[in-house]
Amino acid sequence: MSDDRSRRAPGRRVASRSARSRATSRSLALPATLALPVLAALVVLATQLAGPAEPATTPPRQVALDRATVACPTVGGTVAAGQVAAGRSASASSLPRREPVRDLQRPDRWRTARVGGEAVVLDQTGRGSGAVGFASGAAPRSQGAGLVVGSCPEAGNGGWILGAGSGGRHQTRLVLTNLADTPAVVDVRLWGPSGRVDAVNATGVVVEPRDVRTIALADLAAGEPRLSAQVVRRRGALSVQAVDGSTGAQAGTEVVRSSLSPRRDQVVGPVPAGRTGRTLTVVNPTDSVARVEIDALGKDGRFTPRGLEDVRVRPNRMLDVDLPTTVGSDAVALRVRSSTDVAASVRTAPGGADFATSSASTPLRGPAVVPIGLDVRRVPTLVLANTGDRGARATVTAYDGAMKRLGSTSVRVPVGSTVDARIRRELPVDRAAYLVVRTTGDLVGSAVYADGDRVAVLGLRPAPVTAAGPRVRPAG
Amino acid sequence: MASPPTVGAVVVVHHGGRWLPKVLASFAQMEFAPTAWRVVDVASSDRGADLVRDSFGADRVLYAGSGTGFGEAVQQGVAALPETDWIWLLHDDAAVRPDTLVGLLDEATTSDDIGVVGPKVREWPSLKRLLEVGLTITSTGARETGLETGEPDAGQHDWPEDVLAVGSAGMLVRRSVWEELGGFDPDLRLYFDDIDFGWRAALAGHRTRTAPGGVIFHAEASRRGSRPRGAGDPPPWEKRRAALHTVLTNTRGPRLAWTAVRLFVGSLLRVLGLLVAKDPEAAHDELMALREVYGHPGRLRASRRRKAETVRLRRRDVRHLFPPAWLPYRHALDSVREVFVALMRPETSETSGRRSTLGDQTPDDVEDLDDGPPLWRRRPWLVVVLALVLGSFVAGRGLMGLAEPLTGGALPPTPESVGAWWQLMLERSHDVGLSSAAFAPVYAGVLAVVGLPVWFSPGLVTTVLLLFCVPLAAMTAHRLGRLLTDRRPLRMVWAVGYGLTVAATGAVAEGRLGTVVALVVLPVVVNTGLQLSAGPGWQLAVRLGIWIALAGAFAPVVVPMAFLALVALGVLRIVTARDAGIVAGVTLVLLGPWSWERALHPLRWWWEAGYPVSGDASALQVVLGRAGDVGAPAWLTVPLVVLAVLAIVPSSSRVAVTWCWAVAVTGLAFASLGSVLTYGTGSGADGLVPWVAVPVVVWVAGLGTAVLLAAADLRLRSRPFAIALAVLALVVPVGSAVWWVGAGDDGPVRRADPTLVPAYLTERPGDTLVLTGSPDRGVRTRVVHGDGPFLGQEAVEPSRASAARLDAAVARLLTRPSSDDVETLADLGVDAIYAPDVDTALADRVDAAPGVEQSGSDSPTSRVWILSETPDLERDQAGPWRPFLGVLHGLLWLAAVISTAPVRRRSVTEDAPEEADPEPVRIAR
Repeated sequence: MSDDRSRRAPGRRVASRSARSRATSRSLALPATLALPVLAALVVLATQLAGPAEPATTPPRQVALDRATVACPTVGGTVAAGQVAAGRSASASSLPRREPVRDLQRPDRWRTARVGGEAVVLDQTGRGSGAVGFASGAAPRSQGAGLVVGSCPEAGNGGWILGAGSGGRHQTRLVLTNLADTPAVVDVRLWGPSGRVDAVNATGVVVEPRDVRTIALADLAAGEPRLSAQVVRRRGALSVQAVDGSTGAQAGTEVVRSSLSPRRDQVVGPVPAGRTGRTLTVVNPTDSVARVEIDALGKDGRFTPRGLEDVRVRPNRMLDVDLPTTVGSDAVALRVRSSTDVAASVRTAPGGADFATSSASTPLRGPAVVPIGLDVRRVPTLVLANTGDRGARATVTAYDGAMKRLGSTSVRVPVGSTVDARIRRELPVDRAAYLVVRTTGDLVGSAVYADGDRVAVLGLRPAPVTAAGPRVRPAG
Repeated sequence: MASPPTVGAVVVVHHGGRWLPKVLASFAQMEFAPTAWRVVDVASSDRGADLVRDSFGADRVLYAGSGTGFGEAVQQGVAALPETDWIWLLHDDAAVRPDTLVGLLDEATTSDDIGVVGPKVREWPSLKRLLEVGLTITSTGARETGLETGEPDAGQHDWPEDVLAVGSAGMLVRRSVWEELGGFDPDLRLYFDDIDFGWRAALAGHRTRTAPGGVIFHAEASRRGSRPRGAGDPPPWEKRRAALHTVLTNTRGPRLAWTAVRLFVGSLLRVLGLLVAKDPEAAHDELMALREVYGHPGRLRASRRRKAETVRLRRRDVRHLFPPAWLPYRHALDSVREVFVALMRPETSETSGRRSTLGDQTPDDVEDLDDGPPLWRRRPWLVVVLALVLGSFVAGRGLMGLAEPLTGGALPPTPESVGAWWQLMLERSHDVGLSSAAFAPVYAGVLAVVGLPVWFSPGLVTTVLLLFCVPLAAMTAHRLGRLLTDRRPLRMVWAVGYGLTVAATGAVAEGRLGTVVALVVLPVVVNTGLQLSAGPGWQLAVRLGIWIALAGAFAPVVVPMAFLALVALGVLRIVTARDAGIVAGVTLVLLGPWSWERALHPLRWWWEAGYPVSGDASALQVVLGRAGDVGAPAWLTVPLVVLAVLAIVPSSSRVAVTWCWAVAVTGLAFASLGSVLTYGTGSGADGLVPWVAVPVVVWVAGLGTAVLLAAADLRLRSRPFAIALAVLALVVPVGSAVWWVGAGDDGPVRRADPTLVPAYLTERPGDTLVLTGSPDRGVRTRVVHGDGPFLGQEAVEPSRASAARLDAAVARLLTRPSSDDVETLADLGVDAIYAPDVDTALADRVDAAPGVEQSGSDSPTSRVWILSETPDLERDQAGPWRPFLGVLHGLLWLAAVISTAPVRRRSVTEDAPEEADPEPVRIAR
């Protein structure tokens, strides 16, 4: 390529400097010029130290709820309603007739009412109100005549009901309550000790808006003394519960709330104290054998009971395991770990008159309400278990029917232990209508109600004050 | 043997002293001379009068007073001639060949119906190029020769043919025809008299033929303005008046009314166009001509009556002599192109186009058509650009085509027509999901203007900008390089390196249209800034403001960088405070309210045109000229950094190199700052990491320029050292080119159906809420209207309140859904929810919501729910003044652009020195 220095490219030229100014600039430019690469290096170093910006992380956050709708079965004849904080408005209607229950429509106090029908829907507004409902009473003889104390759940994705039955005198009824204005559709799947149970008319079960549908498992698969049911919600919003009743040798009634969906690590209980009559039910809905390890969280800490070292559940089967005496007779929580996803619960039958079901639950992450003012005043035994690896504490506060605070007590729960909160001793429970339990750490709890030889277990669930909601942002 | 035809010649002389010596000499050498001569001297005050008197004798010279028109002078001459068969009209600036008259007569005598014959007219003084081989006139009154500018005579028009008219220089007219038609129109003093005569001859049934065998050489002194002006000479608008007069007086029948209206409106449009093109004198001439013609209808009527007496044929009988109807529009396009060239390169403002009298071009200015050395040696930069264009086709091989729009990454699809961009700029409410009344982005207006020629294919605009950004950026850089160095090879390498750097950042693959446009425009900004520093002026300042606004419209981060540079230049007094203020003011005014909103949230300057997609540049990547993990290998830039440091060494170029390093470090600082910041949009999206490609390229370009300026001094060291430096210098352009062509524009950008939601959802009355993510990792929302936003709409933000309300409702919906949440969504105009590649937990939560029903989706991994509530379709609206504000904004841009264009002046050719004391030539009787 020829040297084209003599050819001037077209276009304007920046005026050139004189020789004198060039000489002057030469001496002045050197320090400034050398400083610039150094400055660049410093900028880079500062950037490196600051570290690159990362796109915003969006972990879930607690969202304050300003509305709660729950459904209560009326098997015991009484429904109690309350809240953590006074709400703005409350409504209650019994289903299927949709008749208002005025005694339950005060959002600023604890209230109870005797109700008919199959279910009662409680709807309460108020930011962070945490409205709760409980069904209580004595079940009719035809349903086992047991003591019933059960919480009223909100709408969910379905549920797992373990330890049910559809044979002999053990009859379980699913209570499906549609809390929305659009039809809900569910499928019901059944497992037994021998495997999957073919159910009749178990798919596409429709529950009309604002209606309740009670399905006896015997209508789906009769003659099965032991069953576990999964209710799969396909559409709509509905709450799932079961009323488990038996009039046989082991009579009793229990309102069973859904256990946790199958997983590999979960805690069941705490289960009530008892020397015998405690049975662990494990359902393996997968196609692989589940190898289950069971640890007990007792009053002295965590231990592995002899006789529970090697529990295997075959694919698509349920297994009942009687808890051995090595578990002890105190209240205890069971940690169930499995090689595959399993669901678990424990049935407690201290005598032949009644039984109670303890479901798996996650550690409390919010205030839980323990009712006392039910069909009658029933002061439970509050049992708490620490499932974490650090010490935990629970603060139990008693309130009267007007939501006036009566007193509180603090309970420390060591790691891996189950303790009795001794509320009778620490709180004025004779005047209390309900208790609110607030925890720090990983605690699960149960309230055990006893009436003679009848028993009911209420697993502690957080009141719907807040919920873990996703962090929502515009996509940009 | 028949006697040869007799010819009487009339020569009209008016200040022709410059050309007459040669003209008269050519007359004396004719093989076959006219039988009789008459010369009409129209008030010549130069030596021309003496020359003709010496040549012809006083008895053959007639004198006419100043102001006598050409036609009238010819009449005087003809009247003084004896009776001859033919009359030959000659000019004082047209020389003949010895066989010119022979050639004319040979053709004229071939048929009795030939009334007028004209020669082949070549240019004087080059004598090689054609000026005329017959004439015609367009419907807009433009004189049309049918030749290209500077067309050489290679025999391509050497056959006689019928034409509408021939020029009066060398026109051979049958005496009887001349007398029948009454000679030239007395209302046409100098222009269009020949065309008018030919038109009348054609309508009278006489043929006008070209005789290529007869050649004359014409200087066209009157038309080009090189003839000295004297008292009585026609005013400048006479040419246009004559054109209008000719068309209106010769148009027959009912066509006249439409022609009169069309010419009137067309002339007004020409006035407007000439004003826009900064040619006020021509606009004034047009107006005066219009007034002279339409203001004297009596004159028109009288002329029409005279001409009607000789009409024997109808218009359609002579239609073949006129040019096609589209020809005036072709001329209009040529004029628009001239204006555009004047705007882009004001220092080289020149006319070009087809050979017509619309533009005055002196043929002497046209370069000789000489084959010379091969193209790559004559025009190496052109060859390089062509290679880059070819490389663009190869690199973009997977993205070519127009079946579907380019979309993906940060690039939304283009609308179906350019009208959508215009509507976006002017509408009071934007249908963009959550409705918005915000100001539209300025770059949508720019795209609307640029997209005008491709109205129904706006995708061409983004395709060209993205896929051909390398040659575009290289061209603007090369133009800047002309200010920096005379060394063409270095300049070309530098420019190519700059162009490839734009692609090497990965901007094309990621659909970063804002980055691409800003980096193409950035060299022009620097170019204009350098010109401003060399010579202050308000027009340059306005132009600089326009270019900064244009770049800033697409990549707003350019604005603070430019303003920082302005402040520095102002402090150092390199730019005056006045000019700096003009630049800043023009920039802010042209960017308009949309940008002022961003000024309230400075970090949003990082949000470029397109979706706000996060970048991910580390400190090392920034130093090595990359804006993230995409793009060419970062190590390619290492040699450039080394060379830039070495460039500091030579003392002679140190000042310039220091400036380059200062610019580079500024870019580095901005890029580094951007890599550690996050920003949010007005609708609530936050935690976005800026895409820092623009300042990164400023950093790299600054280093490259330092190397360019020091290259000559670095080269002067030992030869091996120089070779090593050359190899290092070529790593960036060569390596980037190989990567660019090899990897292609591989990235999220693709040609695909831009619909964001299933097709049937686009037909629903409400909007579709698109959910992505999961409850654990976070959920992102986007409300889509129709099939989604097009380019420009993504920058229109809904109100913060609406966005917050939506996000809160979705959060509750995915936590503890209630019918209230569904009602809230319906209030916001949503009637469907769509989750592509849906997370199971998210789907479960939406399933649990009351008031939503599952619906069919377009893929197994996505879900659709329809809300049972009726959506509220009412949209937020801006005030009724919004469209007017949009128009005003556009007019501000137009005014700013026009104000920077050079003002045209009527060209006047300077007189060439006359031949001193020519030898007198005697013309035989």
